[in-house]
Amino acid sequence: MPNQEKVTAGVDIGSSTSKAVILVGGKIASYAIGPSSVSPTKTAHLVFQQALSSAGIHREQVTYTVGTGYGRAKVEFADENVSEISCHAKGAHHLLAEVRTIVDVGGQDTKAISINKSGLVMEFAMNDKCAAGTGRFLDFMARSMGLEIKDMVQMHFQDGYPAMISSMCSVFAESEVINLINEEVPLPSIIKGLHKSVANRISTLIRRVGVENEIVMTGGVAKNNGVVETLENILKCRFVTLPGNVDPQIIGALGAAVIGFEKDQSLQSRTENAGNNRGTQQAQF
Amino acid sequence: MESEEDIKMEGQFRELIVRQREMADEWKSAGGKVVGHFCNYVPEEILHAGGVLSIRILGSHGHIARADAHVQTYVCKLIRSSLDMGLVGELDYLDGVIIPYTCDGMRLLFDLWTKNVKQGFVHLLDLPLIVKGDIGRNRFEGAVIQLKKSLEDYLGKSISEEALSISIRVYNENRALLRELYNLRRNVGGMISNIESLEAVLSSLTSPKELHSDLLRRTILERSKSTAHDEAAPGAPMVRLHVSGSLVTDSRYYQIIEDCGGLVVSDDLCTGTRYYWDDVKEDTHPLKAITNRYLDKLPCPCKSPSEERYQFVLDSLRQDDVQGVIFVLERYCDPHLYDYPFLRKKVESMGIPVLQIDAELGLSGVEQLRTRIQAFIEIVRGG
Repeated sequence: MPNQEKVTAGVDIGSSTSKAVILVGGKIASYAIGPSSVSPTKTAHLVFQQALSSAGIHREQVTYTVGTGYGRAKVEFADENVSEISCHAKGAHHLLAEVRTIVDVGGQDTKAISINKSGLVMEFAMNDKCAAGTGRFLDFMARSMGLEIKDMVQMHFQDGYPAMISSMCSVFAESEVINLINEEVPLPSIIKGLHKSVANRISTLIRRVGVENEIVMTGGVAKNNGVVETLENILKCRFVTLPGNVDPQIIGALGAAVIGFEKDQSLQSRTENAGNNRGTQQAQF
Repeated sequence: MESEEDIKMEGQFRELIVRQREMADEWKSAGGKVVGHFCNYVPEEILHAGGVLSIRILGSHGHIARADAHVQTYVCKLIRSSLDMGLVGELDYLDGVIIPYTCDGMRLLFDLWTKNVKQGFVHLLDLPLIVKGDIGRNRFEGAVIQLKKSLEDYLGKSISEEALSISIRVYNENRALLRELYNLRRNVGGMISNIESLEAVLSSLTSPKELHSDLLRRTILERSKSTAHDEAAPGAPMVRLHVSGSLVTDSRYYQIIEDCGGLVVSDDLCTGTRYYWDDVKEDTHPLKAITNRYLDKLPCPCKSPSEERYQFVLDSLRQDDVQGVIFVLERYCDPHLYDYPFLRKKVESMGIPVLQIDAELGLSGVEQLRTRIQAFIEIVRGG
């Protein structure tokens, strides 16, 4: 089968949302995004099936599948699982060859990743044991103000100075928000303050790996322009935009599918090479 | 494949850890005393010579119930959780505790212990900050003599030079066996798992030494007989790692490393090489030899100078078989944390990737840790 028709898949089971990407000949054929559930195994099947259907591809046509994200070990039908750090790096590099720094802000954690020109991960920093500076923090705050995330993004661009939110801890930050509401501080100010708090937290992780251009933001929170703009101001840089309107939330799944595509190619060349007794040890992972 | 015999052998160090309390009780009902201690600066040989079973206190992985009323939460988990064990009565079986002046936290733990736990023989072992040179040596020699004297008073019997010499040999033998196991795990891939090698050291810290040496000897013999089997997953060979830090007491760290395809081949832990790397000289006056050993041994970062420790870490990596270094650093252990940027730079300049893990004895956030370790091993493998 020529590589142009090779079908590979990446399935990213995140803490809040799950994503699947189907590649045909290394190009995005379809993708799907859905909420994660208490059963990562079921979620994986569901989101995978959704992506397959929208590309009109049968499960049997997929030659290699890579699982990633928190539920990566629960993607039963995957040929292997790879950490989301490697996958986001691979996905971003696949779309933007000049990218050296990737900031993935997901539901449960934030990762700053630095890669070299071949797309290999050189270093990463990741929040641990605390959801400050993640999507979950913002979800939590939106809920306590009775808002949707999209309202928060919209209000971010209304007039007002950012209010001071000094707690990183979601629980303490919530009581600060309640205080601010009681003091009748306008919502856009509170929202800007929250975005600033999240952006500050993310920026310290990025500074740990170093800000090297070009820099791109991936993960669900990359869709929140309020956070993106605040973070750009803190870092004094501009994030590059993903080409062709690719959803930043699918970059991990995309990277997984790309790893599958490359793996599949190297398996192919290994089998081909085995025929003439040469180069059998090449292409080891 | 592992034979049934291997599997049986494999659980034996763990069994010693599980049976730790039971063994201490047996020791006591045979008329012996059981004394706990902290860090690896307490000359256990003296306790052994007095017929005392010495138990290294390693804190606990659980939540703190009572200690937080006495110490700030920015004191390390070893001190906080050990104090907690003392306060809630988990260590009531001990006839005493020896606390060395390794760091300020340990010194203050002594005061807290004296005031709030008060049990039997509670002793503060003075320890110099500068371990090289005559000033420190004279000071520590005095402290060792004083420890022996206080212990003799407590036990109501004297500890003879002959008994000390025997105990020195017993401890040296255990150290030699631990070193042999260490070298075997380094040289013979898959001979001993990450967890078993950790458990071999952890069990040595709390078991009667003769019993432990016997098990070590049998394990080494058994493993050397069976052909070395490489347990690497098909396709990808295990990534060889060095673990740097102070205490690793939660075997899940090593389990996750192994699950992700890593093999710990060397370490500089105080629950590792730092405990057994150096012997006590057998041809000199026992107390002098003991004094020298504990000052000249691989130092804790709390002590000065640090060069020897740096050299040991870097020499471990210079053997050309380590592909990555994982620093497991206890939160609020300033000396280890201060050393880290320097060591990290040195290691990276050798072209070896580094991962730092923030630890508080027992691990929390298993999945986050798994992601980080898996990503690190992917980096080491080059993509």
